[in-house]
Amino acid sequence: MKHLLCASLLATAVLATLSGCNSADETVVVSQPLFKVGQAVSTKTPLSGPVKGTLQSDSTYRVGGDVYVNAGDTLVIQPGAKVYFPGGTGQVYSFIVHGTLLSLGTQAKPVYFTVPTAVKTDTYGADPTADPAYKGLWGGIMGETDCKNIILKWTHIEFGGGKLGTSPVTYLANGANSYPLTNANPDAIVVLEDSWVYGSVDDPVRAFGGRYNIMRNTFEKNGFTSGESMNIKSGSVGNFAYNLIVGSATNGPKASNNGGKNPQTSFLFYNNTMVACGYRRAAAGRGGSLNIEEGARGGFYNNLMVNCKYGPRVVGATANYSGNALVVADTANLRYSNNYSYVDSVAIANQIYPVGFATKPQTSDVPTPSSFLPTGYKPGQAYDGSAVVGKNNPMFVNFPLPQTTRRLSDVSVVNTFNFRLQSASPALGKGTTSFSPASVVPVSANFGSTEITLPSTDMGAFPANGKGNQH
Amino acid sequence: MKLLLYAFLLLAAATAQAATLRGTVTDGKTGEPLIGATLQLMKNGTATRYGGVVGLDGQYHINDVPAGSYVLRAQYVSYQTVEKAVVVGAGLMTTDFALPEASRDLAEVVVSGSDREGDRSVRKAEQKADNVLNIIGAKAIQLLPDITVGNVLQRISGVSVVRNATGDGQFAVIRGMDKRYNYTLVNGIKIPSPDNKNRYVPMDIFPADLLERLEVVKALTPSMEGDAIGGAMNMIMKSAPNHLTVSATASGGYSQLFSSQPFSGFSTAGTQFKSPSELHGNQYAAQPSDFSVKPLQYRTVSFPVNGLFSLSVGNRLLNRRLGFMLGGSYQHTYRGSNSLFFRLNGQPGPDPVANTPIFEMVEKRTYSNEQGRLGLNLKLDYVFNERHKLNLYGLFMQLDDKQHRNIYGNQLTQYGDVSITDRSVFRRQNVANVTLQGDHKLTDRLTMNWSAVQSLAISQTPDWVDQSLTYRTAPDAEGKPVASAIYIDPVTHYWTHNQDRDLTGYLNLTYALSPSLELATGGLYRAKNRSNFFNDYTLATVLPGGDRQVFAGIDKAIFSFRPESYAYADSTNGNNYTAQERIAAGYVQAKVTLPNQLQLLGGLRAEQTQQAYDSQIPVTATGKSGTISYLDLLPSLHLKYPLSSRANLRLSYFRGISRPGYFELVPAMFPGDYFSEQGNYALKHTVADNIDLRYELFAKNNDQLLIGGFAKNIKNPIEYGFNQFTNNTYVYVPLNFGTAVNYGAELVFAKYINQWGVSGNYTYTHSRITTSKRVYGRDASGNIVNSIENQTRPLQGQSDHIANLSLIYKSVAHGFDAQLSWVYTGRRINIVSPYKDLDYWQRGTSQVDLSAEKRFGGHFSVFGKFQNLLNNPVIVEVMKPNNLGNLPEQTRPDRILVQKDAFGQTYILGLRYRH
Repeated sequence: MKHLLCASLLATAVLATLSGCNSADETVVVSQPLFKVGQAVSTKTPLSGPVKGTLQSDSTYRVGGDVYVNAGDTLVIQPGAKVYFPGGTGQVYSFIVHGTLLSLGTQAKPVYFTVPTAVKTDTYGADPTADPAYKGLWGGIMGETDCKNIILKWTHIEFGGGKLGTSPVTYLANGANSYPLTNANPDAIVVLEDSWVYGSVDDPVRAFGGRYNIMRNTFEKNGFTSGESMNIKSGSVGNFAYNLIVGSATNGPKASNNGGKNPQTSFLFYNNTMVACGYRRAAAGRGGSLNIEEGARGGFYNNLMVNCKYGPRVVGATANYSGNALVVADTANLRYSNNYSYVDSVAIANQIYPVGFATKPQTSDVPTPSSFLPTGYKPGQAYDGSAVVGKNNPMFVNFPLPQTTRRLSDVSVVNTFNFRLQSASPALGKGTTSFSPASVVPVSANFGSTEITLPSTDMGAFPANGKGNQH
Repeated sequence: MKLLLYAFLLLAAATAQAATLRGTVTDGKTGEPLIGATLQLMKNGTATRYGGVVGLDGQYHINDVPAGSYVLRAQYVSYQTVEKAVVVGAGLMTTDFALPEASRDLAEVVVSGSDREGDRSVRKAEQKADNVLNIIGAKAIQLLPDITVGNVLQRISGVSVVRNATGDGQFAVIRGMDKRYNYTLVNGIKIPSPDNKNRYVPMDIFPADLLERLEVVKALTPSMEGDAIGGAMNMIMKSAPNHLTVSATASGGYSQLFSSQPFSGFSTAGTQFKSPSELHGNQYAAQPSDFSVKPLQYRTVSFPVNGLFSLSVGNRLLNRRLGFMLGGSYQHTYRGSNSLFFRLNGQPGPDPVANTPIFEMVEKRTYSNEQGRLGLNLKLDYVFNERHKLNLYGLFMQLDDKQHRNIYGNQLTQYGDVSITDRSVFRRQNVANVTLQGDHKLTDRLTMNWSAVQSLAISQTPDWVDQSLTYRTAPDAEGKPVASAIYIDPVTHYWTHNQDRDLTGYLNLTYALSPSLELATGGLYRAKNRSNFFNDYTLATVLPGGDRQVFAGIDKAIFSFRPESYAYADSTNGNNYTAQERIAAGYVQAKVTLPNQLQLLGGLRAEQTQQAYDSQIPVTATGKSGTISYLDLLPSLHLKYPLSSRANLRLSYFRGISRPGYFELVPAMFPGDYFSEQGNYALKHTVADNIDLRYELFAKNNDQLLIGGFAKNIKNPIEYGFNQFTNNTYVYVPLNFGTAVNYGAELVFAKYINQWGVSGNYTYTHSRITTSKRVYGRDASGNIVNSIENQTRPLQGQSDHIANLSLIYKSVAHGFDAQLSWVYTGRRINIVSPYKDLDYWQRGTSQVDLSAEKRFGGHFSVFGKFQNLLNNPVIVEVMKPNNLGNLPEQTRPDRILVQKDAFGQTYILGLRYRH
């Protein structure tokens, strides 16, 4: 009896605990109103000129000219809204942000900046000279020198980066190539999260200063015959992490401190997966995964590079590449380790540590430097990398390695591939968490980053804990 | 009795050895020696073989004259011939002549002096001038080794030149004041510039042999346009002579440079002067077939011979009422240079110290320029009567410059990419001017002078093409460099043209209140329209499939527009703009001569400026178009005190302005990798107060001594600096920087002893300006930061010391002239760097030239001009410690050589005919 009493008391206590000690009330879960500012913008007239307020959820907006978010104004784009550019000759329109632009897509309802009439040609090995991804059918989302915020979450940015007519911003020339996402104010907050950047003529993301969190995105077909997924200039600080980059023309991210702005370029590049980058550079080879040059500082860790033309490149001495200077990085303030390379050819095996550059092999790198570098190896020295061809297969869920496409460069989109790691992958647990991400943007549902994902010991953008890239 | 005496003398002479005749020939009115006057001994009405010429010392000598009775005839152009009977005995005999000026109809209206081109009248004009100026006459120019006005300018006191890529003077720096602070006149009329952005005129357009005189005016009077602070260059073209004059030259030449490097030129036959968008409209999608590869097909000219021709004909007709002078000059020259160029990165390094220069590559630049320089000059004057005269001037100048620049980019490190860059630029520049001018003596005291002027300056670069090839050197397993295949990079074609059309009317009234007081008033109105056109097309060389293209000859290259949007013209390029300018000016001026001979000339000039522009910046930005207007009141006072009939003391004050360049106001943004450049509509014009003091001595025989000093206080000088654009963004813009000072001293001298002469000048200049510059370095915690600091330095182009020295030999008797000339330009800032302490300094340079002329057969002469005898290079340096000792030409530990240009010697031999 005493036992029974105890048992029933215990059961009651458990129930009370589970029901929140308030079992008499209903449990109610309702949807919250979508974040909104000002007036709803009508879908009836094409967007053009100054616009503020809210682009409504699931609505389609057509762009009929350059769109300006004036200083002090805010434009919110609700989940599922689509912004359609016309894509015709002489219709390279842009969003120019002096104030605040918030594109708040969700996993279920992403926002689109695209050209609806453009048809993706995503067969492997398709001719890039005939690919609409590289035509530049609209301009970009451009933060002016007085921009406050550009927050892009779960947003598709496709077919942008076209040649401008009259430039709508002060920092790009008339007739220049634009960039699908760019900002020139070092004080602006720029967040690109869980988004997709598809195509562009040159760099899809160009940072002329700003405070950045570029996280958990997928970059495809970036740059026609040159271009990095993110090209960072002076005045820029932040993180570039958990991004999947496939078939970038030159590098994934590149950091430099040129441009004359303060503060010094300082970026952390971690847990990115880069596949088949560096093959569309028409001018001389300038890199194919990650590049740190001209006074840039920061670090790179836990990056997984598969069949990229060059491994991470640290510029350690001044050299010249087709009229472009390569000037020494701020090597005294640059840290890196635990980067993972897989290569299918001797030519790129010989460039895991790029010849002529200053990248120092780290014992934590994969493949282990001592397994293929000669004794007494000095950074920049030529070596025979044939021993590591086809070694350390990271075992993606769906991306056959050795690569089965005709050429390594034929892969420029994700399509049906899946770059998550199989449970037996040797890339699991090879990383480091010995550093802290930059916290230069606020964590906020609307005005900042949803989450600044901490580093993982699993290499690449898809760690086993599921906290990485959600695509 | 007299006859007996003669007979006796004759007898005595016959038995004597021989005699020497000597003496002077002078202007009957002024007593000036007439150098070059000829003397001829006549016997029984026919010329003997004895004669002489007045030398530089003003004397003639006729040696070994047999005793006898002669007539000695003295002659000089535009003077009456004078004959004197002489009976020659033994020993030395002195006979002096004073020649009256030739009497002629309307003499005082037609010409104010005789022989306007000679040294004598030039010196006289300098002495008589109301203000401080220096003149070089056609006779002196003829003997110079220079064939363009740009090069002649460097011979003038206080003037140094900025050279073009082939080493020829292009712009003048006057007393340390850069080209923007000076203006150019033709026959006293300001001419527009074919430059696409600025108002200064490239002086290498003008052939030197059309000039009667070149004046450099260093102090402005109220009647002169007020926008010069350094000075005004006035090219006075040859004007109608008093009798039929024909002169012609033909010469050939060679540049030594092309004995060691080939002349590599290209053909411009069939060049399309209009871009595809001009031919077919802005909506036209250009085809690769619209673009010619001909400019990139280089051909070697195995023995490039220069040809130079000039012809001028002048006379007075219709009872001497109509005078004309038609001059033409054509120079076809092959020029070039080779240059070693250390290319600096656009941003210095922060280590080990801030602003440590970083070098990208060593470039070997080779220039081959084929130039056609055509000048036509027509001067007509019609004299209705003593009171009324009309002049019509016409001028047409054309400089065609076909430049091939080849750059071999040999990089500083052993491995990496090597690029070979070729650029073909065909630039045609024209300056044309028509001036109708009237001189009217309305009453005995009141004269009126008016001019109606239309000028046009055009520059065109049809189909400028840039092309580069790249290959990569990588180490093999043993570390040996291995070169890759050569790839062709994208090719860019540019079309640019700009024009400046200028309509101006001038009116001047002069009223002589008394012989010692003259009042003048007048003004001008100018309407100027400028337009600029810029188009470029970049042709991709990427192959279908995305592969790079291996270079197999330019004619086999495959071009395409990728992305396709590149096939459309970039008609919005920021270089497209239009500008207008309206200037209205008026002045009052008085000239008083006090009883003590002190001459005062002074007055006030008012200039109202109205400028307007329209640019390509968007309507959403500030300053797409704009108008700017301002009024300047420009007082001046010029005192001239004749210490003697040969010496003056001058004291001048004037206020001058300098207007910003047309494009400097246009806020078009030109983003660069390291900083963006932009125009600035808030730019103020420069105003300067100038003082001159000069002592002048014009001795006999063209000897000369000028000693003077000057000082300038320059308000709002225009230089480039960093301007804060927003909180964290700076742009590099033309800005006004407070007040700059510039002072100095000048010395000019000429001394002739018999056939020998030495002339020269020396100018000392000191200027200082403080501008904002960027510093790229580390802060205390090791972060790299950009900051702005001020730096004080001399004005761009100002040399502390510039000098000329010439040794002249003129033997009138042998008909032989020769001149050895040395020009020195002291070290100066060539390029002002946006970064502190990284200005480009040109080392002090010397040039030595030789020229000679020998007359024969009365009307002919042969001449030679030999330039740059020592082949002295132009060297440019950055004054920072040098750790590039292992690289070529880096010989100094305390400075870094960034450019070394060599131009080689040039030779010209020619024949001159003059009647």
